[in-house]
Amino acid sequence: MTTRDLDRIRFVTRHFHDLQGLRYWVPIGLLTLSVGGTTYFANRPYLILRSAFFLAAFLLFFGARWYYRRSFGEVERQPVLPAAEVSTLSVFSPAGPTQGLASSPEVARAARSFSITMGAAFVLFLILQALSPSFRITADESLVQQPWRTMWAMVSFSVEEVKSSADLVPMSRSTAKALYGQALYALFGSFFLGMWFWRERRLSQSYHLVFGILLLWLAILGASLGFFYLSPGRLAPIIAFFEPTLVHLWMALLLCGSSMILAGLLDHWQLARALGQREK
Amino acid sequence: MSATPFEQLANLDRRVHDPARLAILTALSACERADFLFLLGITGLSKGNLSSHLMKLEEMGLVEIEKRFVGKKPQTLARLSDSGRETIEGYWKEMEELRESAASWRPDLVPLPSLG
Repeated sequence: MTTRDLDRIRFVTRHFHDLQGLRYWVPIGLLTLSVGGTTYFANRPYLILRSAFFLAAFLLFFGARWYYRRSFGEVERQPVLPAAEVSTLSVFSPAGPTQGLASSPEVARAARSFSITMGAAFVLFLILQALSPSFRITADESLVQQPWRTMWAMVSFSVEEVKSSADLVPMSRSTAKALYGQALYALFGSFFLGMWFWRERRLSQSYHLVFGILLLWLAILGASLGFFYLSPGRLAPIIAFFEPTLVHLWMALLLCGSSMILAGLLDHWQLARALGQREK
Repeated sequence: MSATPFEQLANLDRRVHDPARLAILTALSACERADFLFLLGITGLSKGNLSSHLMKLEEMGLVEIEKRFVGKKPQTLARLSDSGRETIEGYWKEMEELRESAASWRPDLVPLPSLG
């Protein structure tokens, strides 16, 4: 039994609930994919697919709860964690902070990790949106073709001419969708980053960091899209490759949902691996 | 004169220092309470081993055991007692001190006992 083993025991016990990827993150990912279908996929096969995703998410949420309880047992978490924990924890004290350190003001560490990262991401996102030159996106909204056929084509850009604050140009449907997509990247990206902080910035949890950085990078790129606008009606070649991910809401939902599913599966794998080794 | 790392090591709480008990107490210190099945998985102990260590820890007053039925299935829940929590925290404090004193310890500062 090494200190590393003890540290793993402490970590898995503390994060037993949120490491249950099949119960939380995979259903959320499936729901995100299901919602993704509502943006363009209006024909029958996609309606069935959407319903299937929704049903799978619902069944998985309740089924996984039973599965985890039956396979790995139950853990009742500590009500509130001390705020000083992260800074005081060392590799030699997997049991957590000493009594003296635990007497500092108690703040839920999870709430702190998520609120700071998500708050900072949204402030940055809004600042970039405000600074970026405004323009209009026009995409094919006819719902006739499959979205991947219109992924690269049928999108055009034009400068929005706002003469005064009283003369605001109404946002086009495609522009609004692109904006929602970019906000979604910021939301999911900051969530993953917050999760990584919450999980004590461990190397074994670095997939949350990777997803967080990738999605936040797309959010930043999307929010500063106006800087890459080249007349007439196109984007700078350096950004053109990422154009579909930045202007199509369904692409944002697909990427965010898939990331969530993948993170959930990796969480589940880690939990199953940690709890699956027993003496004969 | 402060104790050498060897003396500190010899003075460690033997009730906790056993690897299996340390694993159980570490797991319980990270939660409010956990059931037998979870402890079985996280410590990697066999059922018999875990059961015997839990009984010993309960006898020492470090752990509180609660048995109940969920439907028709029996469930055993374990939690650290107040004294158990103090003991494990004290143990890690001692280990931290031991690590620090071992890092700064120099053999030439301590006279070795004569062999003759």
